[in-house]
Amino acid sequence: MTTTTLATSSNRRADGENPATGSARWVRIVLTLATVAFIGIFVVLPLANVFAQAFSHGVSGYVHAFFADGPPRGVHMPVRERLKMITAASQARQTRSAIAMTLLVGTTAVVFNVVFGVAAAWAVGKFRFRGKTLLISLIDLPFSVSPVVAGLIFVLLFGREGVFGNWATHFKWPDPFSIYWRGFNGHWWPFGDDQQLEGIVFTPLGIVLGTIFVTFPFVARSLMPTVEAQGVEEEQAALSLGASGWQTFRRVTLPNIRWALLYGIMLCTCRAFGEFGAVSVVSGNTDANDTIPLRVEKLWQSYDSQAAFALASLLAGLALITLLIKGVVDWRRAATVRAGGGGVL
Amino acid sequence: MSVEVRNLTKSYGNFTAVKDVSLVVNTGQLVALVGPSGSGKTTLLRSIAGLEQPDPGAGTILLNGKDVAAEPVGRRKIGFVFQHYALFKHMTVGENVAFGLRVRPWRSRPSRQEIRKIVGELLDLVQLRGMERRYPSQLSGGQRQRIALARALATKPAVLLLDEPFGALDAKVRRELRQWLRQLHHDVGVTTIFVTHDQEEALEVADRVAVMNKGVIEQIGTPTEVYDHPATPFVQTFLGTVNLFRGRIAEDLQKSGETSNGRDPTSPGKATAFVRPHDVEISRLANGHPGLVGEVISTSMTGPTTRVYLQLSDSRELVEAELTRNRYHELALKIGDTVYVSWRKAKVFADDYSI
Ligand SMILES: Nc1ncnc2c1ncn2[C@@H]1O[C@H](COP(=O)(O)OP(=O)(O)OP(=O)(O)O)[C@@H](O)[C@H]1O
Ligand SMILES: [Mg+2]
Repeated sequence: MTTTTLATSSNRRADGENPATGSARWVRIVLTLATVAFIGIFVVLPLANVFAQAFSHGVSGYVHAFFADGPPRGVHMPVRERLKMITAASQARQTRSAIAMTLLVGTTAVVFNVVFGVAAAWAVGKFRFRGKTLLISLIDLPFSVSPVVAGLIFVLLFGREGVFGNWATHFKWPDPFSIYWRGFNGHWWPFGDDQQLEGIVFTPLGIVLGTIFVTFPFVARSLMPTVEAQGVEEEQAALSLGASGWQTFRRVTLPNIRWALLYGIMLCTCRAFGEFGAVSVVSGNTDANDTIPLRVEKLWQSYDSQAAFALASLLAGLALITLLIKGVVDWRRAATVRAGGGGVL
Repeated sequence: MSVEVRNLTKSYGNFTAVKDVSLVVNTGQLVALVGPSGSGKTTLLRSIAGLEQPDPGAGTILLNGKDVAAEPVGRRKIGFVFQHYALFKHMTVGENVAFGLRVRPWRSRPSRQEIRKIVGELLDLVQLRGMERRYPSQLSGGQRQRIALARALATKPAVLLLDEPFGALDAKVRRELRQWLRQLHHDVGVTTIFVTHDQEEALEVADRVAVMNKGVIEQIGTPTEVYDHPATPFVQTFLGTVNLFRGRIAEDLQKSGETSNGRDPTSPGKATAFVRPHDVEISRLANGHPGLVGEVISTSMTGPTTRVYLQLSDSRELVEAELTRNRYHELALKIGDTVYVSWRKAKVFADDYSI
């Protein structure tokens, strides 16, 4: 999904008749048809199929994949039926836990990558320094590294036998679900936690790391051209007018990069929620660590294709919403440019 | 507020953009910084503003006699107008002008009404009232420039630094804005340093002119001083068109007497006489004192004066002369005429001086 959105943005300026090819109208028609057919076969059809399969047992079947009741108490029913209901309920529970895991992990990764991406784009766009080209290629690295390899890197670093294995397996971190507010009385840190988790690999923390690694180019990459084109003068003007560093960022830098940032966040979110390879390696194949894509795979493997597609439809829906937002963003941007608000992005 | 720069040096890598520059600007003065492209004007201006740090230990900047090395840009009470305006594209004109007031800590921030009033006054000052709600992209170049100025003035800076304020504008608008800047400076009375590479602009507007070349200030003085008594051949050639007469130092060369760079003009040696076009005299007759012989190549009318281009018959060099209309008609020059060339006033520099 993400690749198609990238592709459409790059050939936006293809309208207008080209005199060199304009005479051969059939060329244009054939090319257009080929493109439409290609997109139809490889994008629209599979996407439609996802929803068709998800709803193959009707709306109730769709809902059933997420919310299935256990067998009612005190009611007599055949053991087979009972067992089926129990299984369905536990499957649905696991599906819900996978959704929660994805939301938690994905959001964390996106937050980190936004901070990192803005900082990186800033550093690369505004300053000249030695090794800048190297830094840019390093930012691009996750694009060229297979996600599975990325996952393996973390296992090899933090796994039991890994380079930092000793430290990592005993690394303690608070269970995010047990964090509570304890206030400032007597503490500098206002949060407390009841439960601690241990280790990095094969825990949600590992999944977060893997996801961050795989998705970190998205925000940085979508910001860089904008930040670079922006230059430093507006910010220096703000500083010379007495604005603090934060005010300058808030009132001058951010408004200028907001559309690019939004787009980057959307791409990053889609990828973070949909990441399979790296997460598959670092999650250790335990049910508790399943994210949506891992869960889809497991449901599929256990021949529950309707449930698999139902869950997959969530990701597909996210992609569609992203597309929609991108459309709105493009439209808004065009409107701002027309209204003379400056060509931002 | 007075501005003083002491022995400032600024390098980028191993390239020195500004070399050991010293400059004093008194309170309320309007000083022009002129020089060819790349001579370090912007660098000097940015160093004063605090947008560039001088090389470690190489230079002090004093505002009102106080060393401001530790003061960040925002605290120097400086209004900086950038070469390319640097207006905030996503803000309206009103928001742009109000920016410096709105970012103040709330204790010293004026109220909304006050801000609106100040913005209105400033827009009056720059003659752009009623444009509050436009975006910078909806303004002409000259209007943007004036908004940039209004924005800088909003915080009531004690020093105004303008980097080529009229750089991107056409000649007519430039001339208008030049007069307008002069008037504005007169009204507001703020110490102002402005950069330009247009010598005419500098001579016309400024109280004093500093001529920069290759990272050093070659001369500072009033427009009359730098124009009539240039300290170096560079200043002489940079400020206005000038004709070069090369020769040995002999009687004909030092006729007008004024020489420079400490060399006795009567001592033998090669030298060059610099003569402004309006100091060139053309006559039909060899009237007593020795003159050079030249041929009229072309003539062109430029308003009240006429320019005559001549080629000297011995050195084949081109000479530009500026004659009044009357004199031109008196002479009745035609292309191809042979005439005698001499000068009323020249500045002679011995040739060890490289330009
Ligand atoms: N950030 C920089 N890094 C490296 N060199 C620089 C930098 N800024 C300026 N320079 C160099 O310093 C020299 C002086 O530059 P500066 O911008 O001060 O010139 P200027 O007199 O303002 O020229 P112009 O009239 O073209 O604006 C130039 O040779 C320029 O190449
Ligand atoms: Mg400059």
